[in-house]
Amino acid sequence: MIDNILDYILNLPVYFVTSLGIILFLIILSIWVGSYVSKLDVRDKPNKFVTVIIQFIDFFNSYVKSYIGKHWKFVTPIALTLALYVAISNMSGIFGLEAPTKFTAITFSLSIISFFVVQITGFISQSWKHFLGIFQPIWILFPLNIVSEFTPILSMALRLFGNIVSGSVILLLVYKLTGWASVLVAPAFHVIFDIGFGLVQTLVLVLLTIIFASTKINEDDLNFEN
Amino acid sequence: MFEIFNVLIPNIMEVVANEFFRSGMAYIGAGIAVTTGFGTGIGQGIAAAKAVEAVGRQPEAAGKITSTMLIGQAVAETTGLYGLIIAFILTGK
Repeated sequence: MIDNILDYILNLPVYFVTSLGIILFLIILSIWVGSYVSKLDVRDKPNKFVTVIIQFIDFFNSYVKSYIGKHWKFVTPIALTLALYVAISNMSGIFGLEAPTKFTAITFSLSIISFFVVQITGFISQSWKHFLGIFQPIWILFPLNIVSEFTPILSMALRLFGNIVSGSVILLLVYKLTGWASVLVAPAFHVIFDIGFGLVQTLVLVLLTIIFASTKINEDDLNFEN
Repeated sequence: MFEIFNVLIPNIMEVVANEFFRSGMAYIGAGIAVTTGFGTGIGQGIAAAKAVEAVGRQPEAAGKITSTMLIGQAVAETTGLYGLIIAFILTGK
C-alpha cells in the first residue's frame, strides 16, 4: 500500500506542485506579516511595506462589512484567501510558470469552496430556517430555486477557466508567430491578458461570492448590524 | 425535399465515413461554435456606450461607473466563453 501512495505522490501533474508552491508562498508571507504586526507597539511607525498591507486589509474589511453586516468576521478570511490565491495564480504566466487556474480541476474546486461559503453563511445567520428559503416566495418554484442554487458552481468555474485558457492560447500563437521579435511584442500581450484579465476575474469571483452570501442573511430584514 | 443531395454529393466528393471525415466535421463544428461571440460583442458594446454616456453626464463619479461596468461585462462575457470551450473540446477530436 505504501507503494501506491508513493507512486501517486511522485507522479502528480506539474500544476499541483505549482499550486502548492503558491500556497506555501502565501503562508510564509502571512506568518511574517502577522508576527511583525503583533510585536508593534501603539506608538511605533511600521515600515512602508506593512503599511500598504494594513491599509489593504482595512479596505477589504470595510468592503465586506458593507455587504454582510454582523457576521463579517466569518466571511472575510476565506474571501481574502480566495482573492489572493486566484490573483497570484492568474498572474503566474509572467513568471514563466503554467497557471494552475488553467485546469478545470482547480477552478471547479474553487467554485465548490465558494458554494460552501454561501450556504454556511446562510446557516450561521438563520440557523435551520435557511433550508426553508428554497420554498420562498411560492412553493411551486421549488425546482427552479434548486437549480439556481447549483448553477453558479458551473458558471463561476467555466468563467475563470475560459478567460485564463484563451489568454494563454493567444500568447502561444504570438510566440510562435514572431519568433525572435517576441521580446518586443509579447510584453504588451502579457500585461493585457495575464495581469488585466487575471485581476478582473479575481474581483468578479470574490464579489459574486460576497453578493450571493449577502442574499442569504435575513436578520431583522436589515443588514445594518455592526 | 433534400433527396437531391443524395444524387449530387457522390458525384462531387467521395464520402466514406472513416475517422478523417469525422475529424473534419468536428473542426467545422468548432468553427461554427465560436460565432456565439457575435451577440456577446453587441451586448457588451451597448453596456460600454451607456457607461460612457453616464460619465459624460456626471464626471466626478467616473471611478465607480468604470468599476461597475467592468464587473457587469465580466459577467456577461460568460455566455460567449461557453462557445469557445465547446470549440476547444471539438478541436481535440
